[in-house]
Amino acid sequence: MDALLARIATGDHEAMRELYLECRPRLWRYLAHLDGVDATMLDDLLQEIFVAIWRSAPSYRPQGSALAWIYAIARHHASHARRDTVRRAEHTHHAGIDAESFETGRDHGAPFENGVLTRLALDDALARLSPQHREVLRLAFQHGFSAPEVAQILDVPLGTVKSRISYARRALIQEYAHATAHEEETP
Amino acid sequence: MTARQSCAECIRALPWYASGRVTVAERALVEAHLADCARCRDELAQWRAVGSALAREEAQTAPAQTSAEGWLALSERIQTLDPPRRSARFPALGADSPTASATTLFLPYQPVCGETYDEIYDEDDDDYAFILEDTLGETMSTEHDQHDPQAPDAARLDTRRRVWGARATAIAGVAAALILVIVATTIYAQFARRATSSVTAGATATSTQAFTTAAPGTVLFQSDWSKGLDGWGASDGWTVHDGMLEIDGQDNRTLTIPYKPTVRDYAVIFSVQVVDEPQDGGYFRLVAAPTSTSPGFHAEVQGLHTDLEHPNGDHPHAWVFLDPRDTQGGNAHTTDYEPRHAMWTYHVEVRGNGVQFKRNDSSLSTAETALSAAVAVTPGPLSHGPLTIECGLASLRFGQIQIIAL
Repeated sequence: MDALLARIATGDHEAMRELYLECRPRLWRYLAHLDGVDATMLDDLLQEIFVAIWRSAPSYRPQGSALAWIYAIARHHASHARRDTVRRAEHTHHAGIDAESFETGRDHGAPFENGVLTRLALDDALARLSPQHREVLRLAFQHGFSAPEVAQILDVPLGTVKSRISYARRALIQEYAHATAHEEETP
Repeated sequence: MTARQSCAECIRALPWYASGRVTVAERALVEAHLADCARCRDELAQWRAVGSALAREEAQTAPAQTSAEGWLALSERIQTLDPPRRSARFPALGADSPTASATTLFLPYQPVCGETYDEIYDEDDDDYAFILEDTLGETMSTEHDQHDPQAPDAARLDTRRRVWGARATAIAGVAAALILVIVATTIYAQFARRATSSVTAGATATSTQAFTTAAPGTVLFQSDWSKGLDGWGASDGWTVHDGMLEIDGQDNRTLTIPYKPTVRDYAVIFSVQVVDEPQDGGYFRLVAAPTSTSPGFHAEVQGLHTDLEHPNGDHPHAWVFLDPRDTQGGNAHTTDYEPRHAMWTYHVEVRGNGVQFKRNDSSLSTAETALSAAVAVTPGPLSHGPLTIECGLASLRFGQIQIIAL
């Protein structure tokens, strides 16, 4: 990846194509799971991200993970897109929709055998985590980043990443207990 | 190592062990410990279940474009762009910066896209989400005057860049002529001093960036809250009691010091007591906003804990880093640091292109603890403000704020 970025920095279109085809699917998955990013705008958002990579390649210094550097750019652009979405939502008074769908999402109702029930309780607990905690877990487990790489992407100290994953664990335990109790109450 | 310490270390490493991203040393530690610890084996099983649940998670939408279609669109787009180039983080005054002029050398940094300075932070207290990496290359220059939240149109940006390039050439010519006149009428010693005071800001900046001089230790500013907080630009939540300033435990509290040092090297000295942490994650920091020519800095203590048990060993810490980050030479080190509830005096010392963050160990001695330091890759100087105290999620008491010459 470092070599690809070095070639892109010289204006090499073929290197850009290779990087695009390699990174696009995983960046899509990352962005699609980020809270507040408008799914209908993901293609446009991705294009802006790759344009930014094209332009910024000369400033990349291979002192961390190249992929984490790319994710950091993606996250930066997503955060701008998210603010725009929030502003639009506030403007059109649609802010309540999220809360509504959030509650509906919890209501999976019908009884299941224990294994599935437990699995759903865990899914439910994950869904109820704060976006901050979910993002650290996703970067670690879905995208396979190490703790220093997650720190690079989120632009926070390594200690903060470890704190967040620790808090995520604690919150997960609480949410899991809550979700299990909810399912047990469901007839 | 005791069994409890070993457990704590293992638990810290377990999520990364479960995701397959631990160092060799961590792997060895975890595997040795797991052999004897049923509790940690259970913990590992839980993390693996979390990993499986996340692996099942699918996006709710699919890309509208295939990768080939996406590349075609991107390829057409980048054909219209200039080749990649290293962007000028701190463009010379008059060259490519719409806001730069002799009178705006110390204007506060203007965030892009119409954000307020507070908005460059995520909704999370310690989450520095806005990367001043300048990913678009124009963030510090072309987008300075652009408040359209939509992505900038490439052609428009290129046109604008050419316009600014032409203007820059004309301005640079006029500036060069002016400089010649100034140089001719300025005594040699003064010229020499200015010429060495700023290497990176360019000739125009050099000739306008004059600092006053003061004997080291001279008190330039001393807080006095006896008449309230007029002029301090204080957010909600600040109150004055017995000559001290107190802040409630809410998030995103700010206080701007109504003074910017005029000497080159200076120190901000402030006393802080953590009265209470209503929830984990409390923080306080001194922030110097970056300017168009000088990196800013953040000297902060964060991750303050409540008195609840924290079995996983995460720890409050202190550090100082430059803003934008890529102006910094290497990573600033963080120090595990827990101030507890004593009143401590902190020094943030700015010398040229470096900043040191220290804590005075006692009012009766000069002993001090170095917390962190950062140095810019460019010769400097660093920003002289506006200087702002930012804090949240902790009730704090400030004894005094002082700025002295170094």
